[in-house]
Amino acid sequence: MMKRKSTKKTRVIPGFGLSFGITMTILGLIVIIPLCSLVVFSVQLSPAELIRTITRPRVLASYGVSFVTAFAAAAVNAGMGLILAWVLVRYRFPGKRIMDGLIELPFALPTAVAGIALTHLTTENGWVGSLFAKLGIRIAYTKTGIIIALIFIGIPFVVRSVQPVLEKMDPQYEEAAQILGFGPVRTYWKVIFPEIFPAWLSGFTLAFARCLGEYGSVVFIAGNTPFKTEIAPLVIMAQLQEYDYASATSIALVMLLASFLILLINAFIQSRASKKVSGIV
Amino acid sequence: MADTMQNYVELQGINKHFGSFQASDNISFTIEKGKLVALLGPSGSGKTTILRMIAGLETPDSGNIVIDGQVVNEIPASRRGIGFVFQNYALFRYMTVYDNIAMGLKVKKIPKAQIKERVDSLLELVSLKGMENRYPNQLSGGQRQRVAFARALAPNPQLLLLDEPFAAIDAKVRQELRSWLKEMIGKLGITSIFVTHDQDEAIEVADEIILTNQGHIEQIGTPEEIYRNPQTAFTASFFGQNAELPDYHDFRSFAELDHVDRVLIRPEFVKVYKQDEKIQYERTASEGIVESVSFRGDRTELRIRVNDAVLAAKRNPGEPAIRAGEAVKVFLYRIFVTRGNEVIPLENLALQTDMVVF
Ligand SMILES: Nc1ncnc2c1ncn2[C@@H]1O[C@H](COP(=O)(O)OP(=O)(O)O)[C@@H](O)[C@H]1O
Ligand SMILES: [Mg+2]
Repeated sequence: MMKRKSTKKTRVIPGFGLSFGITMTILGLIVIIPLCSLVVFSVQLSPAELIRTITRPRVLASYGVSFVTAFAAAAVNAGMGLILAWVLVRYRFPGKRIMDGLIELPFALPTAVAGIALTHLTTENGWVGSLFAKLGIRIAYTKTGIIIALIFIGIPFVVRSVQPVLEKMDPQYEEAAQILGFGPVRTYWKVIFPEIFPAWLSGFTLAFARCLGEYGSVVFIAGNTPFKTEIAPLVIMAQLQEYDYASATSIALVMLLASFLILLINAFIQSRASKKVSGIV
Repeated sequence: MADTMQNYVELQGINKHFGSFQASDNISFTIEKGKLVALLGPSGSGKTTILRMIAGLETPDSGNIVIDGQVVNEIPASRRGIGFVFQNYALFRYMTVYDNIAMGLKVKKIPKAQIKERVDSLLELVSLKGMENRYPNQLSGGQRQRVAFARALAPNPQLLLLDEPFAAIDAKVRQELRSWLKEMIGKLGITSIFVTHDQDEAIEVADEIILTNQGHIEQIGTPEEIYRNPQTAFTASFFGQNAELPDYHDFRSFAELDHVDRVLIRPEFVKVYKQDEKIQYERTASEGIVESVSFRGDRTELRIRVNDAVLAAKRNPGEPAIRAGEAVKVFLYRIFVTRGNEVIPLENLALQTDMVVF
C-alpha cells in the first residue's frame, strides 16, 4: 500500500494559493484601497458636518436627478435591450453582423464624444432637436437629454447579458409549451422569460449602476442647472475644483452606498432564482 | 370502417429532407389503437424525426399523417391530442412539479378545483405525492421522467410519444422504469410510440417494433418475429450479438450458396463442448481454441477462435467450466447468410438428417 502524503483533495489544475493571492492583491490595490480612502477622507468631517454636507438642498436635488434619470434610462434599456437581444438571436436578416457589432460602440467610444454628438443633435438647432422643438419639446439641457445620453451609454449591458442565455436556451422548452397548447404570450411569460430573467435583471442592474456614475457624456447635454439638471457626479466634481476633498468624498460615499445597495438587491434576487435550478431543496 | 377504427395512427409515404439530407425516406406504417410501439434503430437513423412529424413539431415534405382517421398534416401540434415526453424531459425549470403538470390544463380554462383533482390523481399515479412543491432540478432522474410523463398525460391525450425515455437514467433504475412504463401504459390503454436505440429495451417493452435504418423502415413486426425472422440483411445484423464468419465452409454441413456477402452467427446458436464431453453431432463439430473467458454473473461469455473466425458463445454456470487457452469443440445450429439486402437463414444439415429437435 502506498501512503498518501496528505488527505487534501487534489485538483486537476494546481495553484489555488498563487491565483488567490494575485486576485486579492489586484482587488485590494484597484478596488478596496481606493474605496477605503473615500471613507478616510470623509471622516475628516465631524458627523454633524458630514450630515450637513450630504443633505444640502442642492446635493439632495442632484441625487434625485441622478437616480431618476439613471433609473429611467436603465428601464428603457431593459426593454429595448431585451428586444434587441431577441432580434439578434432569433432572426436572420441582412446586416445582422454589423448591428451586432454596433452594440459595443458605447463601450468603445470616449463618453465625451457621445455627449457632444448627442448634444449637437438635440439642441433646438440640431436635426432631431429642431423637429421636437416644433412640438414644444426640448431635449438638450433637460432631464430628457440626460436620459437619452444615459440610454446610449447603457445599451450594451442588457443586450450582452441576455443574448448568450437566449442563444443557449433549449428550443425543446418552447416545443413542450406548444404541444401543451400554450399561446405565444403564455409561452413567452411562463417559459422563456423566467429563463432569461436572472440575466436580464443583471443587465438592468449593471446599466443602472453605470448610469448613476456616468459623467462624461452627461455634462454636455445636461446644461447643469442646479436643482434641475445637475447630477451628483457633477456636484462632486464641483467640490473637487474648490479643493473641498472632504465634501466631495462624502457625497461620493453616498453614491457608493447607493450602488452597493442596488447590486446587493440584485444578488439577493439572483440567488433566489438560482436556488430553483441549483437542485438545493 | 372497422379497419380505420383499429388503426389509430397511420403514416403514408412520408418524406423529409433537412437541406439535401434525407432524414425520412418513404415512411409508411400503421399502429393499432392501444398498442405500445418501439421506433428502433441506430443513432441518426431518423427515429426522432418521425416522432416529431407525428407530433407536429416538424412538417413532412410529402406524404400524409393520419391520426384517428383524420389527416393531421395541417393541424397544429397543440390540437393533435398528443402527449410528448422529450428526451431530456424539457420540464419547465422555474415551475414547481405541480405547476408543470397543471399548466397543460390551465391553458384549457378548466376550473381550479378540477385541475387540482386531476393533478393530485396524476401525482398519485406516478408516485410523486408530496413532491408537488419541488422544482424539477430538486428531483432525481427517474422522478423527473415521471413528472414529464404526468405532464404529458395531464390533458388526456389519445396518443403518447416518448423520445428515448430511458436514455438519461442510470442502468439500475432504468430496468424498473421500463416495467413501470409498460405496466402504466397498459393500464391506461393509451396508444404509445417510443423511440429507442437499445434493442433489449425495444424487445422487452414493445408490443411491436418498427426498425429504422438510414431514414427508411427495414422491418415491422412483434419483437419475436423481428428477432427470429429477420427479413433484411440490416435487421439480421442489428439484432443479437452477432459475430461474422469469414467463410462458413469451415464449419460443417450447411447448404452451399453462391455469392455470399456476409455470414452472421448469434451466440445462442453456438454450442461449445469440452474435449471429453459427449457430442451429439460429432461429425459436424469443429475444433477451436478459447481466446477469452469473461464472467457475467448469470453466465460466462466465451470468445473462441476456429480457423480464421472468432465466435462469441455463452455457457451456463451449471456446465463444466472452460478456461482460456483450452481446446474445445464447437457446433453451430444456425447461421444467417446475407446476399445484397436479402437474408437467408441456414440450419445445420445435421439437425435435419438426424431429425432431432434440440
Ligand atoms: N433540424 C435538423 N436540421 C438538420 N438535420 C437534422 C435535423 N434534425 C435531424 N437532422 C438529421 O437527420 C438525421 C436523423 O436524425 P434523428 O431523427 O434525430 O435521428 P435519431 O433520432 O434516429 O438518432 C440525423 O443525421 C440528423 O443529423
Ligand atoms: Mg433521436
